[in-house]
Amino acid sequence: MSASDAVPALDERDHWGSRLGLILAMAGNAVGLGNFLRFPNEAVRAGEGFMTAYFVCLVLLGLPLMWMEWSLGRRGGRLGYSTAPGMLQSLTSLRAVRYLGAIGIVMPLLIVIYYVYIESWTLGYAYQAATGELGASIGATQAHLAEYTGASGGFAGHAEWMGSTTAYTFLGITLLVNLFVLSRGVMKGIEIVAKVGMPLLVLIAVALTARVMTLPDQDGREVADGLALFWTPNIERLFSSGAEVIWLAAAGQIFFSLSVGSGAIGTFASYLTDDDDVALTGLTTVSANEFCEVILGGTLAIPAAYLFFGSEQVAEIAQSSMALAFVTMPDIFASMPMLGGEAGPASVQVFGTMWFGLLFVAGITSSLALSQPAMAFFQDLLGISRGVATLIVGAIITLCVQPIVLVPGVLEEVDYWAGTFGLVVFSLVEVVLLMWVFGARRAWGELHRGAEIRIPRMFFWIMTWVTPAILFVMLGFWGWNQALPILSMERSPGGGDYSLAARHGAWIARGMMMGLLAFVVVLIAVASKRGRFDAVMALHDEEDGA
Amino acid sequence: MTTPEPQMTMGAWIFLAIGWFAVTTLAVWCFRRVLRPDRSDDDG
Repeated sequence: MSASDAVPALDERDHWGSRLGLILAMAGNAVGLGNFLRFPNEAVRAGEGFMTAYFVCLVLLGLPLMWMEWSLGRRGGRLGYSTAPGMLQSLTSLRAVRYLGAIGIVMPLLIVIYYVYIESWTLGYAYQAATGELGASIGATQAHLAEYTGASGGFAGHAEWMGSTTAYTFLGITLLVNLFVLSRGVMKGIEIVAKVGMPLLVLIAVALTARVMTLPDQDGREVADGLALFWTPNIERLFSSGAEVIWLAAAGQIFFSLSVGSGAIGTFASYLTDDDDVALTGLTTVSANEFCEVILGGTLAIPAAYLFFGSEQVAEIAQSSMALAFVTMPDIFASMPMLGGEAGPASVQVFGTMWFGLLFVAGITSSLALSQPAMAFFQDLLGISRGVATLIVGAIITLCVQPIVLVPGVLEEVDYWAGTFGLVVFSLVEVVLLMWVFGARRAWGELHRGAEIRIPRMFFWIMTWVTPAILFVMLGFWGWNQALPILSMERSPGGGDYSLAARHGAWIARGMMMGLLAFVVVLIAVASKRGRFDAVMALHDEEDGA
Repeated sequence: MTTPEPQMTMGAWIFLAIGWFAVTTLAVWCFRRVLRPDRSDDDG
């Protein structure tokens, strides 16, 4: 069988309707809760010098990995594969590599499972803000969040996490909206949501940022001074003892924010045609994400929190993204006068609806992107129709989200392994296979196929040596300092102790993650038996013969 | 002991201005190039 025999034509698979749609969908994938919640929190926690480290990591990790995933995705698509097992197999004839691709299916799916739950909170809160219910809770926003989620003791404690009717109702709605869009496919579903959602998101974020930056001084504090918490370019701190905390925070933020290493970028890029540009398009995605993160995300929550609460309380607030979004921000809105109006429940209604609406839009574009690898896996490798694939993905999320809703500690554990650690591991797998096994020169040529810009040559060396070296150092540092205490649950990923309840949750989370991984590995074996990798193996045979 | 309140120094303002300018310029340049009307492959 020749390689071309088993390659499905692009018009038989999902594809993009327009380039703008593709870029907005990619930007929607990258722009998520991480831009508006995680970024300002990480920046404040790391402190002065963070932004310098952040920009260095963007150039040495973010941009190279983005370009690599675009190239890898388009190459996979050319051979008829939209997911990691096929894409990685296209780089080498070593059969075991396809099983490594299971990480690129399971990890985004695991992230979606908890992401959808948090996304549903933003929808619930947007609804409650719009109806005035949230405005009535001012002064007791922590208790309101506990009541909403069904967690006794508040979010930080959540000793008895039960899942309230309200939380379940909005979770159900959010899940159904996600599944409906997924069932419509890439062009008629994801692309349309991105085309409507992304401009709306930028519009709301710009309006909120403009209001925050024009707020009058409070107790002698100027809103702009809140920016000094992380924009002060303290270069000395980056080379002093303890600087690794700043560098790791910056690198972790780049991974999470750009969604590199999650498998979703490759899947989206696989719907390109063979000679579509990926160099300029990849750079455009990064630029859109950075605009939303550095300028909009960095200028909203933290400066506002600093203005109303001062730097000491901001440091405490920054310990939890959830507390910032769902407790602090409603409190801030209650004190934030509308233009020409008064502060109070009405301002919570207006600004709260905008803020939680913004988070919901940012969340849904990301959750759709993160669900697509699993959708494509069932469709392309197992030959299942889109409708049935939607039902399977929906069933997995519905089943696996239950422990996240009901058992404390599960969400944090899954977030750590899938949303933080896993991104670094899978990025390393991709970069080593692409740049070292497939070959740096071939990868560079792949990146420049149909390119509309010439990428500076220095990136060839960065992608070949610097990016993998940084990833190895990050994992080595983790292995040396954190692996044992975290694996044995002596210390939580956040640095504190595991409570007994969190320990139970962590075991459930680990069981769930390993179970899903095993499930996908078995399915890859089934796909192998059905000859789904024959096309790419034939290609390797042809290359070896030549 | 209370933490001193942060203040935007001249250095911080210059760094912020460079960062914002670089990010905005890159985004505008990229989108202008991507959405150029003379592109022939806009329909995917």
